[in-house]
Amino acid sequence: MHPEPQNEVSPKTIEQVYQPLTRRTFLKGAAASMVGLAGLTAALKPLLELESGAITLDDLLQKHYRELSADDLKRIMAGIADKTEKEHGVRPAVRDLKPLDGVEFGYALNLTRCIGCRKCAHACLKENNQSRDDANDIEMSYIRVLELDKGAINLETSNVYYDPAKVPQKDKFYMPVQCQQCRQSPCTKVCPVQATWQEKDGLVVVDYNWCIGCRYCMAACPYDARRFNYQKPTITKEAINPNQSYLSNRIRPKGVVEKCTFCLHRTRDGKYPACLEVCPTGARVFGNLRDPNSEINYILNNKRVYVLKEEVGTLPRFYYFFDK
Amino acid sequence: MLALVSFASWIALALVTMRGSRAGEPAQPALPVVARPPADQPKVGLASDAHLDKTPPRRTVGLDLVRNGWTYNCMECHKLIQARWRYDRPMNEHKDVKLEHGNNRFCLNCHHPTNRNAFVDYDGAEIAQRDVVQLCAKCHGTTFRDWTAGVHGRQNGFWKTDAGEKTKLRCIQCHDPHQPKFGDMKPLAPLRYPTRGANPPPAAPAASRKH
Repeated sequence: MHPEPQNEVSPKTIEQVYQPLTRRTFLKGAAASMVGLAGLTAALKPLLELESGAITLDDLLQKHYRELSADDLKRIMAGIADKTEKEHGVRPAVRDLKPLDGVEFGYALNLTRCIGCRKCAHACLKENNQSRDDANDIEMSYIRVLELDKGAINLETSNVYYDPAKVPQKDKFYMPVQCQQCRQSPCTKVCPVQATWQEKDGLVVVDYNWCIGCRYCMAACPYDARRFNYQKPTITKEAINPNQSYLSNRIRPKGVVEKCTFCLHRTRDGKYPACLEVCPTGARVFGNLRDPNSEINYILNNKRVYVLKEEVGTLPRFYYFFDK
Repeated sequence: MLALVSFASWIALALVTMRGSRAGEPAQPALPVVARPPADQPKVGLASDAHLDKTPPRRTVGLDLVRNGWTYNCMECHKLIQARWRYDRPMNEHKDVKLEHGNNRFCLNCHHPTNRNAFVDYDGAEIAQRDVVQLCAKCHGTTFRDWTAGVHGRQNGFWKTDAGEKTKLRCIQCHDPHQPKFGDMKPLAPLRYPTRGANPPPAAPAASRKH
Protein backbone atom coordinates (compact mmCIF):
# COMPACT_ATOMS: atom_id res chain seq x y z
CA MET A 1 0.00 0.00 0.00
CA HIS A 2 1.34 3.25 -1.01
CA PRO A 3 -0.39 6.01 0.69
CA GLU A 4 -0.73 9.17 -1.29
CA PRO A 5 1.76 11.64 0.04
CA GLN A 6 -0.29 14.39 1.62
CA ASN A 7 2.23 17.13 1.78
CA GLU A 8 4.04 16.50 -1.37
CA VAL A 9 4.44 19.66 -3.40
CA SER A 10 4.94 19.28 -7.05
CA PRO A 11 7.63 21.42 -8.69
CA LYS A 12 4.99 22.66 -11.10
CA THR A 13 2.93 24.15 -8.33
CA ILE A 14 5.89 25.99 -7.03
CA GLU A 15 6.46 27.37 -10.51
CA GLN A 16 2.93 28.63 -10.49
CA VAL A 17 3.22 30.24 -7.09
CA TYR A 18 6.64 31.74 -7.46
CA GLN A 19 6.48 33.04 -11.00
CA PRO A 20 9.81 34.05 -12.38
CA LEU A 21 10.12 37.81 -12.82
CA THR A 22 9.58 38.36 -16.49
CA ARG A 23 9.84 41.74 -18.23
CA ARG A 24 6.08 41.78 -18.70
CA THR A 25 5.16 41.26 -15.06
CA PHE A 26 7.76 43.76 -13.95
CA LEU A 27 6.34 46.50 -16.14
CA LYS A 28 2.80 45.67 -15.07
CA GLY A 29 3.72 45.92 -11.45
CA ALA A 30 5.69 49.11 -11.95
CA ALA A 31 2.80 50.79 -13.77
CA ALA A 32 0.32 49.75 -11.12
CA SER A 33 2.45 51.08 -8.31
CA MET A 34 3.01 54.37 -10.13
CA VAL A 35 -0.73 54.87 -10.45
CA GLY A 36 -1.19 53.99 -6.83
CA LEU A 37 1.52 56.37 -5.75
CA ALA A 38 0.10 59.21 -7.82
CA GLY A 39 -3.31 58.62 -6.32
CA LEU A 40 -1.87 58.58 -2.85
CA THR A 41 -0.02 61.83 -3.45
CA ALA A 42 -3.16 63.47 -4.74
CA ALA A 43 -5.12 62.20 -1.78
CA LEU A 44 -2.53 63.47 0.64
CA LYS A 45 -2.10 66.85 -1.02
CA PRO A 46 -4.36 68.58 1.48
CA LEU A 47 -2.06 67.23 4.18
CA LEU A 48 0.89 68.82 2.42
CA GLU A 49 -1.02 72.10 2.28
CA LEU A 50 -1.81 71.56 5.91
CA GLU A 51 1.89 71.22 6.55
CA SER A 52 2.65 74.46 4.71
CA GLY A 53 -0.17 76.28 6.49
CA ALA A 54 -2.21 77.00 3.35
CA ILE A 55 -5.21 75.34 4.98
CA THR A 56 -5.92 74.50 8.56
CA LEU A 57 -7.20 71.34 10.17
CA ASP A 58 -10.46 73.18 10.77
CA ASP A 59 -10.85 73.73 7.04
CA LEU A 60 -10.22 70.09 6.38
CA LEU A 61 -12.64 68.72 8.95
CA GLN A 62 -15.23 71.50 8.84
CA LYS A 63 -18.90 70.60 8.67
CA HIS A 64 -21.51 72.26 6.45
CA TYR A 65 -22.38 75.81 7.52
CA ARG A 66 -25.87 74.83 8.58
CA GLU A 67 -24.61 72.01 10.77
CA LEU A 68 -22.02 74.07 12.57
CA SER A 69 -22.49 74.89 16.21
CA ALA A 70 -22.13 78.52 17.22
CA ASP A 71 -18.78 77.82 18.88
CA ASP A 72 -17.40 76.00 15.85
CA LEU A 73 -18.47 78.80 13.55
CA LYS A 74 -16.87 81.34 15.82
CA ARG A 75 -13.62 79.41 15.78
CA ILE A 76 -13.75 79.03 12.00
CA MET A 77 -14.40 82.72 11.48
CA ALA A 78 -11.49 83.55 13.74
CA GLY A 79 -9.43 81.21 11.55
CA ILE A 80 -10.54 83.10 8.43
CA ALA A 81 -9.57 86.38 10.06
CA ASP A 82 -6.19 84.93 11.03
CA LYS A 83 -5.58 83.76 7.49
CA THR A 84 -6.51 87.13 6.01
CA GLU A 85 -4.25 88.86 8.49
CA LYS A 86 -1.39 86.54 7.66
CA GLU A 87 -1.79 86.85 3.87
CA HIS A 88 -2.92 90.45 3.50
CA GLY A 89 -1.87 92.22 6.67
CA VAL A 90 -5.32 93.36 7.76
CA ARG A 91 -7.45 91.71 10.38
CA PRO A 92 -11.07 91.86 9.20
CA ALA A 93 -14.13 91.66 11.42
CA VAL A 94 -15.68 88.46 10.08
CA ARG A 95 -19.24 88.08 11.28
CA ASP A 96 -22.08 85.68 10.80
CA LEU A 97 -25.32 87.56 10.23
CA LYS A 98 -28.55 85.60 10.44
CA PRO A 99 -31.66 86.50 8.42
CA LEU A 100 -33.89 89.08 10.06
CA ASP A 101 -37.40 88.08 11.06
CA GLY A 102 -40.18 89.32 8.80
CA VAL A 103 -37.76 90.40 6.11
CA GLU A 104 -37.58 89.29 2.50
CA PHE A 105 -35.36 91.36 0.29
CA GLY A 106 -36.40 92.70 -3.08
CA TYR A 107 -34.63 94.91 -5.57
CA ALA A 108 -35.94 97.07 -8.39
CA LEU A 109 -34.02 98.88 -11.10
CA ASN A 110 -35.26 101.75 -13.22
CA LEU A 111 -33.93 101.25 -16.74
CA THR A 112 -34.97 104.73 -17.85
CA ARG A 113 -32.67 106.19 -15.23
CA CYS A 114 -29.68 103.87 -15.66
CA ILE A 115 -27.01 105.55 -17.77
CA GLY A 116 -24.53 102.69 -17.86
CA CYS A 117 -21.76 104.41 -15.89
CA ARG A 118 -20.65 101.08 -14.29
CA LYS A 119 -20.27 102.65 -10.87
CA CYS A 120 -22.28 99.82 -9.36
CA ALA A 121 -20.05 97.15 -10.88
CA HIS A 122 -16.91 98.80 -9.57
CA ALA A 123 -18.41 99.43 -6.14
CA CYS A 124 -19.23 95.72 -6.05
CA LEU A 125 -15.55 94.89 -6.54
CA LYS A 126 -14.58 97.14 -3.66
CA GLU A 127 -17.29 96.08 -1.28
CA ASN A 128 -16.86 92.36 -1.90
CA ASN A 129 -13.06 92.22 -1.68
CA GLN A 130 -12.48 91.04 -5.22
CA SER A 131 -9.21 90.96 -7.13
CA ARG A 132 -8.63 94.16 -9.02
CA ASP A 133 -5.17 95.56 -8.41
CA ASP A 134 -3.10 93.63 -10.87
CA ALA A 135 -3.63 94.19 -14.61
CA ASN A 136 -3.69 90.42 -15.09
CA ASP A 137 -6.40 89.88 -12.53
CA ILE A 138 -9.75 88.62 -13.52
CA GLU A 139 -12.38 91.01 -12.20
CA MET A 140 -15.50 89.16 -11.26
CA SER A 141 -17.90 91.89 -10.28
CA TYR A 142 -21.27 90.33 -9.56
CA ILE A 143 -22.87 92.95 -11.79
CA ARG A 144 -22.69 92.98 -15.55
CA VAL A 145 -23.92 96.18 -17.15
CA LEU A 146 -25.27 95.29 -20.56
CA GLU A 147 -25.57 97.81 -23.37
CA LEU A 148 -28.64 97.09 -25.47
CA ASP A 149 -30.12 98.60 -28.59
CA LYS A 150 -33.22 100.65 -28.03
CA GLY A 151 -36.43 99.12 -29.28
CA ALA A 152 -36.20 95.67 -27.75
CA ILE A 153 -34.71 93.83 -24.80
CA ASN A 154 -32.43 91.58 -26.79
CA LEU A 155 -29.77 90.13 -24.54
CA GLU A 156 -28.22 88.15 -27.39
CA THR A 157 -26.89 91.29 -29.07
CA SER A 158 -25.99 93.04 -25.84
CA ASN A 159 -22.48 94.22 -25.16
CA VAL A 160 -20.82 94.09 -21.76
CA TYR A 161 -17.49 95.56 -22.91
CA TYR A 162 -18.80 98.89 -24.24
CA ASP A 163 -16.42 101.78 -23.62
CA PRO A 164 -17.49 105.02 -25.32
CA ALA A 165 -16.23 108.42 -24.21
CA LYS A 166 -19.61 109.36 -22.83
CA VAL A 167 -22.66 107.50 -21.66
CA PRO A 168 -25.56 107.21 -22.26
CA GLN A 169 -25.24 106.71 -26.01
CA LYS A 170 -28.18 107.99 -27.95
CA ASP A 171 -29.58 104.77 -29.41
CA LYS A 172 -28.66 102.52 -26.50
CA PHE A 173 -30.00 101.68 -23.10
CA TYR A 174 -28.27 99.94 -20.24
CA MET A 175 -29.28 97.02 -18.10
CA PRO A 176 -27.28 95.92 -15.07
CA VAL A 177 -27.74 92.22 -14.39
CA GLN A 178 -26.80 90.58 -11.12
CA CYS A 179 -28.11 87.69 -9.05
CA GLN A 180 -31.90 87.81 -9.18
CA GLN A 181 -32.28 85.87 -5.90
CA CYS A 182 -34.89 83.62 -7.51
CA ARG A 183 -37.70 82.05 -5.54
CA GLN A 184 -37.33 78.95 -7.75
CA SER A 185 -33.57 79.02 -7.99
CA PRO A 186 -32.10 76.47 -10.43
CA CYS A 187 -28.60 76.92 -9.01
CA THR A 188 -29.49 75.58 -5.58
CA LYS A 189 -31.27 72.58 -7.07
CA VAL A 190 -28.33 71.32 -9.10
CA CYS A 191 -25.64 71.63 -6.44
CA PRO A 192 -24.43 68.07 -5.78
CA VAL A 193 -23.18 68.88 -2.28
CA GLN A 194 -25.83 71.42 -1.22
CA ALA A 195 -23.22 74.09 -0.77
CA THR A 196 -25.70 76.73 -1.95
CA TRP A 197 -29.20 77.36 -0.67
CA GLN A 198 -31.87 79.97 -0.11
CA GLU A 199 -31.97 81.70 3.23
CA LYS A 200 -35.13 82.68 5.05
CA ASP A 201 -34.92 86.25 3.76
CA GLY A 202 -34.68 85.09 0.16
CA LEU A 203 -30.94 85.48 -0.32
CA VAL A 204 -29.22 82.68 -2.20
CA VAL A 205 -25.92 82.08 -0.45
CA VAL A 206 -22.91 79.79 -0.83
CA ASP A 207 -20.87 78.12 1.87
CA TYR A 208 -17.52 78.87 0.29
CA ASN A 209 -15.80 76.31 2.50
CA TRP A 210 -18.19 73.56 1.40
CA CYS A 211 -18.28 74.32 -2.36
CA ILE A 212 -16.33 71.80 -4.44
CA GLY A 213 -16.11 74.06 -7.49
CA CYS A 214 -17.95 71.81 -9.93
CA ARG A 215 -19.70 74.84 -11.49
CA TYR A 216 -23.01 73.05 -12.07
CA CYS A 217 -24.73 76.11 -10.59
CA MET A 218 -23.08 78.38 -13.14
CA ALA A 219 -24.42 76.20 -15.92
CA ALA A 220 -27.87 76.20 -14.37
CA CYS A 221 -28.16 79.96 -13.80
CA PRO A 222 -30.10 81.66 -16.62
CA TYR A 223 -28.72 85.08 -15.64
CA ASP A 224 -25.00 84.32 -15.63
CA ALA A 225 -24.92 85.62 -12.09
CA ARG A 226 -22.31 83.29 -10.61
CA ARG A 227 -18.57 83.63 -10.80
CA PHE A 228 -15.80 81.08 -10.45
CA ASN A 229 -12.58 81.92 -8.65
CA TYR A 230 -10.00 80.84 -11.19
CA GLN A 231 -7.11 82.45 -9.36
CA LYS A 232 -6.02 83.05 -5.85
CA PRO A 233 -7.51 86.47 -5.06
CA THR A 234 -4.97 89.28 -5.03
CA ILE A 235 -5.86 92.41 -3.17
CA THR A 236 -3.77 95.06 -1.49
CA LYS A 237 -3.89 95.82 2.18
CA GLU A 238 -5.49 99.22 1.68
CA ALA A 239 -8.16 97.87 -0.64
CA ILE A 240 -9.56 95.32 1.81
CA ASN A 241 -12.99 96.03 3.18
CA PRO A 242 -12.76 94.86 6.79
CA ASN A 243 -16.52 94.59 7.22
CA GLN A 244 -16.86 90.94 6.22
CA SER A 245 -19.20 88.08 6.78
CA TYR A 246 -18.87 84.33 6.42
CA LEU A 247 -21.53 83.98 3.74
CA SER A 248 -20.76 87.05 1.68
CA ASN A 249 -17.66 89.16 1.20
CA ARG A 250 -14.85 87.46 3.09
CA ILE A 251 -11.88 86.77 0.84
CA ARG A 252 -12.90 83.60 -0.95
CA PRO A 253 -10.56 80.69 -1.56
CA LYS A 254 -9.51 79.78 -5.09
CA GLY A 255 -11.64 77.24 -6.89
CA VAL A 256 -15.07 78.03 -5.50
CA VAL A 257 -18.13 79.64 -7.03
CA GLU A 258 -19.23 82.96 -5.60
CA LYS A 259 -22.15 85.27 -6.15
CA CYS A 260 -24.05 88.42 -5.25
CA THR A 261 -25.76 88.22 -1.87
CA PHE A 262 -27.32 91.70 -1.98
CA CYS A 263 -24.37 92.60 0.29
CA LEU A 264 -25.86 90.65 3.16
CA HIS A 265 -23.17 91.93 5.52
CA ARG A 266 -24.75 95.34 4.94
CA THR A 267 -28.39 94.59 4.30
CA ARG A 268 -28.84 92.30 7.31
CA ASP A 269 -27.42 95.17 9.33
CA GLY A 270 -30.18 97.37 7.95
CA LYS A 271 -27.98 99.21 5.42
CA TYR A 272 -28.44 99.55 1.70
CA PRO A 273 -26.32 97.40 -0.64
CA ALA A 274 -23.17 98.98 -2.04
CA CYS A 275 -24.41 99.12 -5.64
CA LEU A 276 -27.37 101.22 -4.55
CA GLU A 277 -25.23 103.52 -2.42
CA VAL A 278 -23.16 104.64 -5.38
CA CYS A 279 -25.79 104.84 -8.14
CA PRO A 280 -25.52 108.45 -9.36
CA THR A 281 -28.97 108.56 -10.92
CA GLY A 282 -30.90 106.79 -8.19
CA ALA A 283 -32.00 104.02 -10.55
CA ARG A 284 -31.88 101.39 -7.82
CA VAL A 285 -34.56 100.71 -5.22
CA PHE A 286 -34.09 98.19 -2.44
CA GLY A 287 -36.32 97.12 0.38
CA ASN A 288 -38.28 94.60 2.37
CA LEU A 289 -40.97 92.83 0.35
CA ARG A 290 -42.89 91.89 3.48
CA ASP A 291 -43.19 95.47 4.70
CA PRO A 292 -46.23 96.98 2.93
CA ASN A 293 -44.82 100.50 3.33
CA SER A 294 -41.38 99.75 1.94
CA GLU A 295 -39.95 101.42 -1.13
CA ILE A 296 -39.85 98.19 -3.07
CA ASN A 297 -43.54 97.63 -2.45
CA TYR A 298 -44.28 101.15 -3.64
CA ILE A 299 -42.61 100.20 -6.92
CA LEU A 300 -44.47 96.92 -7.21
CA ASN A 301 -47.80 98.61 -6.47
CA ASN A 302 -47.37 101.72 -8.62
CA LYS A 303 -45.01 100.93 -11.49
CA ARG A 304 -45.14 98.43 -14.29
CA VAL A 305 -42.37 96.04 -13.40
CA TYR A 306 -41.13 93.04 -15.30
CA VAL A 307 -38.68 90.29 -14.49
CA LEU A 308 -35.85 89.08 -16.63
CA LYS A 309 -36.47 85.81 -18.52
CA GLU A 310 -39.90 85.32 -17.02
CA GLU A 311 -40.43 82.29 -19.26
CA VAL A 312 -37.86 80.18 -17.41
CA GLY A 313 -40.01 80.30 -14.29
CA THR A 314 -37.40 81.32 -11.76
CA LEU A 315 -39.60 83.94 -10.05
CA PRO A 316 -36.86 86.48 -9.37
CA ARG A 317 -36.86 88.92 -6.47
CA PHE A 318 -35.21 91.44 -8.80
CA TYR A 319 -37.51 93.65 -10.85
CA TYR A 320 -36.89 95.99 -13.76
CA PHE A 321 -39.09 98.90 -14.72
CA PHE A 322 -39.16 101.91 -16.99
CA ASP A 323 -40.22 105.12 -15.34
CA LYS A 324 -39.21 108.75 -15.50
CA MET B 1 -54.87 137.52 -4.78
CA LEU B 2 -52.32 137.66 -2.02
CA ALA B 3 -49.59 136.99 -4.57
CA LEU B 4 -50.86 139.83 -6.70
CA VAL B 5 -50.85 142.19 -3.77
CA SER B 6 -47.35 141.23 -2.69
CA PHE B 7 -46.14 141.46 -6.24
CA ALA B 8 -47.65 144.90 -6.69
CA SER B 9 -46.17 146.12 -3.45
CA TRP B 10 -42.78 144.76 -4.46
CA ILE B 11 -42.96 146.57 -7.84
CA ALA B 12 -43.83 149.76 -6.04
CA LEU B 13 -40.89 149.31 -3.69
CA ALA B 14 -38.55 148.66 -6.62
CA LEU B 15 -39.74 151.72 -8.47
CA VAL B 16 -39.29 153.89 -5.40
CA THR B 17 -35.77 152.59 -4.87
CA MET B 18 -34.77 153.03 -8.48
CA ARG B 19 -36.11 156.54 -8.61
CA GLY B 20 -34.26 157.32 -5.43
CA SER B 21 -30.94 156.09 -6.79
CA ARG B 22 -31.40 157.74 -10.17
CA ALA B 23 -32.00 161.07 -8.59
CA GLY B 24 -28.61 160.72 -6.93
CA GLU B 25 -30.01 161.13 -3.48
CA PRO B 26 -28.07 159.63 -0.59
CA ALA B 27 -31.06 157.45 0.35
CA GLN B 28 -30.06 153.87 1.19
CA PRO B 29 -32.11 151.13 -0.42
CA ALA B 30 -34.38 149.43 2.02
CA LEU B 31 -32.72 146.33 3.38
CA PRO B 32 -34.93 143.30 3.17
CA VAL B 33 -35.17 141.22 6.29
CA VAL B 34 -33.34 137.92 5.79
CA ALA B 35 -35.59 135.47 7.47
CA ARG B 36 -33.81 132.24 6.60
CA PRO B 37 -30.20 131.13 6.61
CA PRO B 38 -28.53 130.23 3.28
CA ALA B 39 -28.12 126.77 1.82
CA ASP B 40 -27.47 123.78 3.97
CA GLN B 41 -28.03 120.35 2.56
CA PRO B 42 -27.78 117.07 4.45
CA LYS B 43 -24.72 114.87 4.28
CA VAL B 44 -24.69 111.92 1.90
CA GLY B 45 -24.45 108.41 3.28
CA LEU B 46 -22.63 106.85 6.19
CA ALA B 47 -19.16 107.74 7.39
CA SER B 48 -18.24 104.04 7.42
CA ASP B 49 -18.77 103.82 3.66
CA ALA B 50 -15.82 105.95 2.70
CA HIS B 51 -14.69 103.35 0.16
CA LEU B 52 -17.84 103.92 -1.88
CA ASP B 53 -18.01 106.96 -4.14
CA LYS B 54 -21.37 108.46 -3.35
CA THR B 55 -20.92 111.75 -5.20
CA PRO B 56 -24.17 112.93 -6.73
CA PRO B 57 -23.96 113.64 -10.47
CA ARG B 58 -24.35 117.41 -10.16
CA ARG B 59 -21.14 119.34 -10.71
CA THR B 60 -21.14 123.10 -10.56
CA VAL B 61 -18.63 125.57 -9.27
CA GLY B 62 -21.03 126.89 -6.68
CA LEU B 63 -21.68 123.48 -5.25
CA ASP B 64 -17.98 122.80 -4.96
CA LEU B 65 -17.67 125.92 -2.85
CA VAL B 66 -20.49 124.79 -0.62
CA ARG B 67 -18.94 121.35 -0.35
CA ASN B 68 -15.71 122.91 0.81
CA GLY B 69 -17.54 124.58 3.63
CA TRP B 70 -17.96 128.04 2.14
CA THR B 71 -21.41 129.36 2.94
CA TYR B 72 -22.23 132.38 0.94
CA ASN B 73 -24.99 134.73 1.74
CA CYS B 74 -26.74 135.90 -1.43
CA MET B 75 -28.10 138.93 0.30
CA GLU B 76 -24.62 140.34 0.86
CA CYS B 77 -24.80 141.55 -2.74
CA HIS B 78 -28.47 141.48 -3.44
CA LYS B 79 -29.37 143.90 -0.73
CA LEU B 80 -27.95 146.42 -3.19
CA ILE B 81 -28.77 144.82 -6.53
CA GLN B 82 -32.39 144.68 -7.44
CA ALA B 83 -34.04 141.66 -8.98
CA ARG B 84 -34.80 141.65 -12.65
CA TRP B 85 -37.50 139.59 -14.22
CA ARG B 86 -35.58 138.85 -17.36
CA TYR B 87 -32.38 136.95 -17.57
CA ASP B 88 -30.10 139.02 -19.77
CA ARG B 89 -26.32 139.21 -19.89
CA PRO B 90 -25.03 139.21 -16.33
CA MET B 91 -22.33 141.82 -15.96
CA ASN B 92 -20.02 140.09 -13.56
CA GLU B 93 -21.49 137.34 -11.45
CA HIS B 94 -23.60 134.37 -12.49
CA LYS B 95 -22.01 134.19 -15.91
CA ASP B 96 -21.89 130.43 -15.56
CA VAL B 97 -25.63 130.22 -15.07
CA LYS B 98 -27.17 128.90 -18.24
CA LEU B 99 -30.88 128.50 -17.92
CA GLU B 100 -32.14 125.37 -19.69
CA HIS B 101 -35.13 124.41 -17.65
CA GLY B 102 -37.83 123.97 -20.26
CA ASN B 103 -40.54 126.58 -20.12
CA ASN B 104 -39.31 127.78 -16.77
CA ARG B 105 -37.36 130.75 -18.11
CA PHE B 106 -37.64 133.43 -15.45
CA CYS B 107 -35.36 133.81 -12.46
CA LEU B 108 -38.14 134.91 -10.17
CA ASN B 109 -40.26 131.85 -10.89
CA CYS B 110 -38.05 130.17 -8.35
CA HIS B 111 -35.96 132.85 -6.63
CA HIS B 112 -37.60 135.09 -4.10
CA PRO B 113 -37.74 138.66 -5.40
CA THR B 114 -36.59 140.33 -2.22
CA ASN B 115 -34.81 137.63 -0.24
CA ARG B 116 -32.26 135.99 -2.50
CA ASN B 117 -31.39 133.43 0.14
CA ALA B 118 -34.81 131.91 -0.26
CA PHE B 119 -37.07 130.56 -2.96
CA VAL B 120 -40.54 131.77 -3.65
CA ASP B 121 -43.81 129.92 -3.15
CA TYR B 122 -47.02 130.34 -5.12
CA ASP B 123 -48.19 133.11 -2.83
CA GLY B 124 -44.89 134.96 -2.62
CA ALA B 125 -43.97 133.34 0.67
CA GLU B 126 -40.38 132.33 1.27
CA ILE B 127 -39.15 128.75 0.92
CA ALA B 128 -35.87 128.08 2.67
CA GLN B 129 -33.09 126.58 0.56
CA ARG B 130 -33.12 123.45 2.68
CA ASP B 131 -36.80 123.01 1.76
CA VAL B 132 -36.03 123.24 -1.94
CA VAL B 133 -38.11 120.11 -2.49
CA GLN B 134 -41.21 122.19 -1.77
CA LEU B 135 -40.20 124.58 -4.52
CA CYS B 136 -39.69 121.87 -7.14
CA ALA B 137 -42.91 120.18 -6.09
CA LYS B 138 -44.78 123.26 -7.34
CA CYS B 139 -44.40 121.87 -10.85
CA HIS B 140 -43.06 118.32 -10.49
CA GLY B 141 -45.88 116.85 -8.44
CA THR B 142 -45.61 113.24 -9.52
CA THR B 143 -41.87 113.24 -9.05
CA PHE B 144 -42.35 114.74 -5.62
CA ARG B 145 -44.77 111.94 -4.79
CA ASP B 146 -42.21 109.32 -5.81
CA TRP B 147 -39.45 111.13 -3.95
CA THR B 148 -41.55 111.22 -0.79
CA ALA B 149 -42.08 107.48 -1.11
CA GLY B 150 -38.30 107.10 -1.40
CA VAL B 151 -38.34 105.89 -4.98
CA HIS B 152 -37.17 108.89 -7.00
CA GLY B 153 -33.58 109.82 -6.32
CA ARG B 154 -31.14 107.97 -4.15
CA GLN B 155 -31.29 107.20 -0.48
CA ASN B 156 -28.24 106.30 1.53
CA GLY B 157 -27.62 104.75 4.88
CA PHE B 158 -30.15 102.42 6.45
CA TRP B 159 -33.19 100.91 4.74
CA LYS B 160 -34.23 99.64 8.17
CA THR B 161 -35.44 102.79 9.82
CA ASP B 162 -35.09 101.54 13.38
CA ALA B 163 -31.48 100.48 12.78
CA GLY B 164 -30.08 103.85 11.76
CA GLU B 165 -30.40 107.02 9.85
CA LYS B 166 -31.47 107.24 6.22
CA THR B 167 -30.28 110.19 4.18
CA LYS B 168 -32.30 111.33 1.22
CA LEU B 169 -30.77 113.47 -1.48
CA ARG B 170 -32.65 116.73 -2.14
CA CYS B 171 -33.51 117.71 -5.73
CA ILE B 172 -30.69 120.20 -6.22
CA GLN B 173 -28.05 117.88 -4.79
CA CYS B 174 -28.26 115.89 -8.02
CA HIS B 175 -29.98 118.19 -10.51
CA ASP B 176 -28.52 121.55 -11.35
CA PRO B 177 -31.71 123.61 -11.09
CA HIS B 178 -30.69 125.76 -14.05
CA GLN B 179 -30.02 122.67 -16.21
CA PRO B 180 -31.88 119.85 -14.55
CA LYS B 181 -31.10 117.24 -17.17
CA PHE B 182 -28.08 115.13 -16.23
CA GLY B 183 -25.02 115.62 -18.36
CA ASP B 184 -23.26 112.71 -20.03
CA MET B 185 -20.77 110.81 -17.92
CA LYS B 186 -17.56 109.02 -18.64
CA PRO B 187 -18.23 105.35 -17.90
CA LEU B 188 -15.84 103.50 -15.65
CA ALA B 189 -13.61 100.98 -17.41
CA PRO B 190 -15.05 97.67 -18.57
CA LEU B 191 -14.30 94.87 -16.16
CA ARG B 192 -11.98 92.00 -16.95
CA TYR B 193 -14.48 89.20 -16.68
CA PRO B 194 -13.18 85.71 -17.38
CA THR B 195 -13.24 85.41 -21.16
CA ARG B 196 -15.41 82.85 -22.82
CA GLY B 197 -15.16 81.39 -26.28
CA ALA B 198 -18.65 82.40 -27.32
CA ASN B 199 -18.37 86.03 -26.26
CA PRO B 200 -14.79 87.25 -26.14
CA PRO B 201 -14.23 90.96 -25.54
CA PRO B 202 -13.90 92.94 -28.79
CA ALA B 203 -10.45 94.17 -27.82
CA ALA B 204 -8.22 93.62 -24.82
CA PRO B 205 -9.67 95.68 -21.98
CA ALA B 206 -7.48 98.58 -21.03
CA ALA B 207 -4.79 97.51 -18.59
CA SER B 208 -3.72 100.99 -17.59
CA ARG B 209 -6.52 102.42 -15.56
CA LYS B 210 -7.25 103.62 -12.13
CA HIS B 211 -9.85 102.62 -9.61
